[in-house]
Amino acid sequence: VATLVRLRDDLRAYSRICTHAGCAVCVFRARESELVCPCHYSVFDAANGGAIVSGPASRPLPELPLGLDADGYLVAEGDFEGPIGPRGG
Amino acid sequence: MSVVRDITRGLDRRLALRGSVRHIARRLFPEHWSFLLGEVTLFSFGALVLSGAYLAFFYRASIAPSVYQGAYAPLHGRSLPGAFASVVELSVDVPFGLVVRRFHHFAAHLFIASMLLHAARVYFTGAFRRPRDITWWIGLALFALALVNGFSGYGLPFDMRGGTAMRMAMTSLESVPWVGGWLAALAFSAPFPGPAILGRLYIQHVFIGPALIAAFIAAHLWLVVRLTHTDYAGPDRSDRLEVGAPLWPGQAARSTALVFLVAGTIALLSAFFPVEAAQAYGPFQSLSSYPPLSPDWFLLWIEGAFRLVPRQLDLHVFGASWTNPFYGAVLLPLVVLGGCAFYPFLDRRIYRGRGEHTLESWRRRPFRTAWGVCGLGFLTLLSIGALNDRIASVLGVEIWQVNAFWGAVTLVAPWALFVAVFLALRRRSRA
Repeated sequence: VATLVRLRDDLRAYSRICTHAGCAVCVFRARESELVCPCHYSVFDAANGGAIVSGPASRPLPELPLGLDADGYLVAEGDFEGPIGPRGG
Repeated sequence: MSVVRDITRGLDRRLALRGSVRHIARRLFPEHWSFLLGEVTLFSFGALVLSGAYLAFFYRASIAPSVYQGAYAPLHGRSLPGAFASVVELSVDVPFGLVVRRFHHFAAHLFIASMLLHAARVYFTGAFRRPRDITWWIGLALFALALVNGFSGYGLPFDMRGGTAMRMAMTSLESVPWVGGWLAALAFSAPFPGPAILGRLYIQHVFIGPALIAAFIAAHLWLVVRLTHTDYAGPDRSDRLEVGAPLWPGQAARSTALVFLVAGTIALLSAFFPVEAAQAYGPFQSLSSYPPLSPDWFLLWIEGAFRLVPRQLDLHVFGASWTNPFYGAVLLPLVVLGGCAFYPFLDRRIYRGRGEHTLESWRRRPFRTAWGVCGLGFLTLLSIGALNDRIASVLGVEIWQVNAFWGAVTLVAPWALFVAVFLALRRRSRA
């Protein structure tokens, strides 16, 4: 499952499952472009491939690469860039 | 009276219990109130079993959707996880359901709180010393079982809180190096939420856990009868002389009063404090972890470790990953319980050759007291760390700043406490 986030001039999609303890990363701070997991406050950079900003998570939040198909629809251009969840399961 | 005598004689002819009943009835119970803390724990357990049996009549351990048809208007006609629907029915539609749920909730909290106070009394007075070290270890097992059962009870309603907690518990189990995947599949039918998750949790909560707790309580009490009580030092008693009221009739009367006091306290709390409103949190939704939640107070220390242990401690060695959930939820409890279990050996090396049955004042055992304060302080600071989001919003700072500061405090302050208490008590005992 992925979360679609709208940055200033970009759309990105990231795994919904926190890489720390498996909670849902369900808070987006638009001003800082940060995805936050409200369970233990792992913070990921939505403008920078889900890199860890702070908090206890040990791996970045996997990004789902997006693109446009021939008809102009938003599609995933591949699988998540990295294992999903705490154990990559 | 002759009817009673006839019955007891008849029973004795069949069961030959006279000797052991007389033996137990003449056991002596010391006067000090602090010896009643363990009894409060015992009676809370009784309250848990009775109220839990009523709840079990109505609870359905299933995550399969079912349509709620009860009287609670906001959820009427909605498809909900079966367990959550049954808990809403319990709270709204079943006679006495909500008050029994609250009774069960407060009984659980009293069970664990009185157990902690009892353990603190035993620790700080040295009642765990040989020959009672086995009793101490059984008590530690009871504490671990109580925490596990408290946690699984939090999960069973499968509301936002319960589901989120179960998901974290599953990933914690998964984080155990090498065997984590198997453990999670066994306990939680991973991946989350497997269809069998609540069935397994339920069997743990209403059968495996309580059966083990009952067995360990029996062993604990048998050892108390076998080894006799300790007592505080006093002019009329010594290490070889027991003083107190016999179980029958003196202590039996006191304990009966205590049963009513415990039941009455739990009933009053459940009447006036509206906890356990599962419908307020709504059914578990796997795409959300909002609003931010806290575990029950007795698990805040583990939650604190989840939030404070920095990712810089992650290791990838021996073909496995060692990460924050493993440190917080697996290693920390093992170290704390293991430390408590090992302590009687350490104590014996430090205070060797003293008496066994007379309790010792915490003032005159500087190392023991300081070590206990250090451990309790550590757990308290960790628990406060679990409130890092609230602290950050009150102070107007970032959560990672709170983590950095409070993590350092949690590591350093307990040792400062140890040194301060140790030196203060040693100076006083020398003066």
